[in-house]
Amino acid sequence: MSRSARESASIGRLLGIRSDRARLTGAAPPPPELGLARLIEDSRPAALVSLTLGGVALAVAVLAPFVLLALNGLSDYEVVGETLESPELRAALVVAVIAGGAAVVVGLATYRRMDTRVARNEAISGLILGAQAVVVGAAVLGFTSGDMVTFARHFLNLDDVTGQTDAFLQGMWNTVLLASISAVAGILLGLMIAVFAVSQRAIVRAPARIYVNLIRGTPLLLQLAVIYFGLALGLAINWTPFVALIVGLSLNAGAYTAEIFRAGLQSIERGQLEAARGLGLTYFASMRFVVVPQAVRRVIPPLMNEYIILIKDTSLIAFLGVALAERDIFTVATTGYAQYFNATFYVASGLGYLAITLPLIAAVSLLEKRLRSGLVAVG
Amino acid sequence: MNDADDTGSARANGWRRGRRGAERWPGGTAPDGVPLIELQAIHKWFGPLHVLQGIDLVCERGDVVAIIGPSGSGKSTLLRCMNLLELPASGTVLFKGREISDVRVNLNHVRAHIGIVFQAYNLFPHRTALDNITLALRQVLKLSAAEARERALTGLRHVGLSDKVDAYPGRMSGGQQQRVAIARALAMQPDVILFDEVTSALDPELVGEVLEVMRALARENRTMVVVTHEMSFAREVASRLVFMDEGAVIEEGDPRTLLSNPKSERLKRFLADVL
Repeated sequence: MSRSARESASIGRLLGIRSDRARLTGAAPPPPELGLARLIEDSRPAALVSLTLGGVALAVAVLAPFVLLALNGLSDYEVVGETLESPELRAALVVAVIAGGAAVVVGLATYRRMDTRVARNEAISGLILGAQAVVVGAAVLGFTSGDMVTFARHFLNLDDVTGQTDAFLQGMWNTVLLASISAVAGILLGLMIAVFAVSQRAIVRAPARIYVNLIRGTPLLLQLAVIYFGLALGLAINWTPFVALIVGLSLNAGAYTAEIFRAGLQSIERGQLEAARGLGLTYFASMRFVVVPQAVRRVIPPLMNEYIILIKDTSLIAFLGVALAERDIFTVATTGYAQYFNATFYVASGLGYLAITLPLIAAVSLLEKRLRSGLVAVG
Repeated sequence: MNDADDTGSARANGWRRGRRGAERWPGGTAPDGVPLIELQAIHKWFGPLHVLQGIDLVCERGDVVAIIGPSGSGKSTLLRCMNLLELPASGTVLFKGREISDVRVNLNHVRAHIGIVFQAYNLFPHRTALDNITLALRQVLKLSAAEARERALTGLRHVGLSDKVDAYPGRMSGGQQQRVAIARALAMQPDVILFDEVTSALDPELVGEVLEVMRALARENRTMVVVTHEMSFAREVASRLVFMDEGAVIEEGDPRTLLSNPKSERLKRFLADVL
C-alpha cells in the first residue's frame, strides 16, 4: 500500500470508517508493482525528451574538457592550453548550452501537463539538468575564451609537480598526523571543559566559559603566533613548528569541541541523570556511565566535521615555517611554488586535501543517515 | 527543636550508627516505632509558586501509600522530596529515623535504599534491559559481574520479561520499558519504592501489565509510595490513601473509607471529576 493510502486508511480507522476497498473485497489489495516495467509504462515522450536532452547536455558540458584533455595528453602545458582553446571544445560546449536550453524549454512547457507522477518528475528533472548544463557550459565557455596557454603554464603544468610526488605523499601523511594528534587531544580537552561547562555551579562554569570564549573570539593564526613566537621569546620555550602547531590546534579544537559536547550533554533528557542519581550513583558515575556515553553518540557527526576542519587548519603551519621532512601538503605546495614559480603545486595540494576530506565527508553523511534512522542511536 | 528530639529518640531506642554486628545506617532495619520515611513540615517553592505548603507524612514499613490529587497539586514533587531528587526549601525528611535532609548525609548511600520509578521510564537507551539493571548493582552495591547478572535476571523474571534480557529500550513497548524500570529499582533490594505516576505515559492497553506487577509487589508486603491517577488501583492496593490539593494534604486514611465517604468538599469534587 502506498504511504498516502496507508495514511488515509488510518485516518479512516480513527473516524471509524473502513476503507472502500477493504469493505468491497474484505482483503488488503496487493501492493502496486514497482520497477522498470512501471517506470516505462508511466513515462511520456515529451518528458523523456526533456530528461534526455538535459542529461546529455550536462554530461557533455562537464565531461568534454576532461575527455579532450585526456585524448590530447596532459604532460605538455602548451598542448593543454591549446586543447582548452580548441574549436572542438567550444563546439561541444555550445552544443551543451543549446541542448540544455532546449531541455529547459521542453521541461517547462510540459511538466504541468504530465498525467503521471513519473513523467512529471522526468520533465522537472530534465529542466533542472538542462539549466545546470547551461550554467556549466557558459561558465567554461567564458573561462576558455581567455589566454589558456598562460593559464595552463601556471596552473596545469605537471612538469615540475610529478617530480614531487613523494613530497606530496609525505605531506599528506604529515597533514593527517598533525590533524589526528590535535583532534584526539582537542576532543579530550573539549570533553573535560564541557563537563565543567554544564556544572550547576557558576564558579565551575566560569573558567570553562572564559576559555571557550577567548579561543572562539580570536583568530587561530594569532593563537599560533602567541604559542610559537610568544612562548619562545617570553619563556624561552622553543618548540618546533610541528609541536607548536599541534599544541595550538589542540587548544583551539578543545574550545570548539567543548561547545559540541556541551550541546550534546544538554540534549540528554534530565530524567536520565535523575534515574541514575535515584539509583544511588554519584554525579560523576552518572555522567560517566549514563549521560556522556549517550552524548558522545549524538555528537559523533559534528566531531568528525571538526576533524575535517582541523585537516585544513594544519595548513597554517606554513606561517610558522617548517623543516623539509615535517612539511604538510600545503607547505609542500608553497615550497614547490617558490622553487619553480608554478602554481600547479597549489592545484595539486587542493587535490591532496580532497583525497583526504571527501572520504571523511562521505563517512559523516553515512553516519548521520544511520544515526537519524534510529538504528544506531539506541545501540 | 522537633527534629533533634526525633533523632534523639531513635538513639534512645538503642540504634547507633556503625554498631558492631549490625548493618550501618542507611542499611539494616529501623528499630520499632521508627517509621521508614517521615516528612515533617515540608515546604517547597518553584519561583513564586508555593507547591508544597507544610506537608507531614509518615510511611511505615509494609505500607502502600497512595497519593492522589488533581494535577499540579504537588504529588510528584512531594514524592521526589522523599529521596531528595527535589530539595525542600524547609522541613525535615527522615529515613529510618535519621534526617537525610541534613547536608552532611551522603545521599548516594540513602538513595541506594529508596527505589524510584518514573512516569517517563527513564531507562538508559544505550544499555540493554540487563545492563540497565546491572549498572547500579555493579557501581553502587559493588556486586560482582556474575552476582549482578544473576540478580538482574531474577528481577526481569519477576516482571515477566525474561525474553527481553538483551533488548534495548527503544525496541520495547512502553509497558515493557516500565516493567524493566521497576525491575531496575527492585534489583537494588530497596526498603521502599517510590512510583511517580508510572502509568500516565502508557497507552491505555499497556496500563494493566504494569499495574499487575505493582499489585504483585504489594502482595509481597513491599513498602511502596505510589503517586497515581488510577483510583481503582489505589482503592484495591493501598493501605493508606493521601489526598493532596494545592500543595497541602487535605485528607488521608483508609482508601475505601476515603473514596466512598469523602469528608472534605475538595475530595468530593475531585472524585466527582475523575470517577
